[in-house]
Amino acid sequence: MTRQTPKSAEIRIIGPRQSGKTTYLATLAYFPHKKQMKQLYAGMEITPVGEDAERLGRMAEDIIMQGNKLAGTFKTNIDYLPFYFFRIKIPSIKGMPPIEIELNTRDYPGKIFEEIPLPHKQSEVEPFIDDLFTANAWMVMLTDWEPGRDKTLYKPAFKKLCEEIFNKEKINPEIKNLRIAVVMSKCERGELWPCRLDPEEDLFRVRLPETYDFLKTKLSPQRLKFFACSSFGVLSDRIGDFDPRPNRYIPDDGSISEFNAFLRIPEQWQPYGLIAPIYWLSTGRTLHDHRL
Amino acid sequence: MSVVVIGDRAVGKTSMVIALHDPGTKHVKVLTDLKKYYDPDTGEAAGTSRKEEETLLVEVKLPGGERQIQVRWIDTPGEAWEKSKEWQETKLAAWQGIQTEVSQSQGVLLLLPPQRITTEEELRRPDAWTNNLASWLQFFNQNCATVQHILISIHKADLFCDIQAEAQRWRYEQLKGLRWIEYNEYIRNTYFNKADEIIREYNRQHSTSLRFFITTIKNPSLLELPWIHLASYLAHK
Repeated sequence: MTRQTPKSAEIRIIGPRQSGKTTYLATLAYFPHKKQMKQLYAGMEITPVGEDAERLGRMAEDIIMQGNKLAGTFKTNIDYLPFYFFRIKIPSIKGMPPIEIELNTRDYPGKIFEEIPLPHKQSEVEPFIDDLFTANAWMVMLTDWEPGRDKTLYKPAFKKLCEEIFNKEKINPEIKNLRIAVVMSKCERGELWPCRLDPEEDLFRVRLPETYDFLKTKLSPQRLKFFACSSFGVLSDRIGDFDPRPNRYIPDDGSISEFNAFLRIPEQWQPYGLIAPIYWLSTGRTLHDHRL
Repeated sequence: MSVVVIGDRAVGKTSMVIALHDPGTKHVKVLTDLKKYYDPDTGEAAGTSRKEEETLLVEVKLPGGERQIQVRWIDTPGEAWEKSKEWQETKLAAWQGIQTEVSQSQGVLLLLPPQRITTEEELRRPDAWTNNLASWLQFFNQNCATVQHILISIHKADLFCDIQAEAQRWRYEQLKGLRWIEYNEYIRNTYFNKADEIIREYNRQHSTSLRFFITTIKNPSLLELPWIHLASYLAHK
């Protein structure tokens, strides 16, 4: 791979509670399918850098791999939220040049996203909104397990965020370069998995129509893209060894499944769509391998 | 990081932590000196008369490596949890202090007595054990909205099951870890089945599910499991 200057990306990850933000980051840090990925694309490497990002990897090893689930990120002062650094090396894929990305990211407590549209919570949300605009890219993780949220939470949250974008870009034109990746998480679910190949059409337009229509009218395609992601993946999506059952286990103990899902077979942990949003957010280009 | 150990009087709250100090287990060792909590000659814990607080330095061997974690251990007097509420009413300030500690902690470990029907009184009230658990769940409901880890263990497991067989079956190994979800399902289905309905009801209403254990100071493998479970989270805070 030709040595190139690494591309810096500053990404904020937001989304409601239980949308899988920390699990996504821990999965990225641990990169459980690194062997298979290296076989597929020699030179593919994800390295967590520094104590906080390394801790994410250990959380994957000590908690997710052991059949436990990560605890939620409770609402706290923004100054206490860690930054996670990653060095991501992506070799040439289908004619795209190789790239090295230096990713600096942090995820917010889900409660903050839920409070974005609430007028009486603005003073609590404000520091987070200010921090959002220190980054040039946002990843918004959503789920559709509670369909009413399309109208009651997601659209109002984006409405508020778009207002902020349009106000702030008048003062700071750099904000015009802000990219937003809207990611449907937990796509291992049977009803979502087949739709992962065209997330914009088959996931967002169909499942979150109000949010989708709003975003499409407000943001240009250069600034907005839709993705499908699954931190757990399915048992296998290889030709000849095809087992599309979600690699997750939901105990029959009365708990709400979205709050209480566990990795089913750690040895077959193959996440889906982890890198594509980061790649697009950093470069503006689309990776043409839906597995990444 | 604080972990509060709660449970009825004489259920074994203090002795559990003492056993993790001396002799300790293969994967968990409380390094902080706890001699003041027990009689070194007999090894027996003295009853806890007031809320005791101690910062424990705990060494835990996790799959990702050996870690030392600091746990703020809050031991509570058994009287505080009596259903008569006499202690709670007469020592209101102390009781409120305990409630605050519990509600602000990261982890709560509730020790339950074994389900046994050995006395006439227990024969007359066969649902007493389940009712006791129900009142604990009510306590969690009222006080533990932000507690991320609620662990419930039936302690003194040597009195109701083959601890060797269970320890053999659910042995934690540092390299392999343990399939926690399978352990949890097994323990819930086997030892908490009488309370299945109230557990389901609790889980339906809360985003933090309960985790179930059986423990005894007579078997280190079983004894260490709730602490390894907690440590795998606390080590990464």
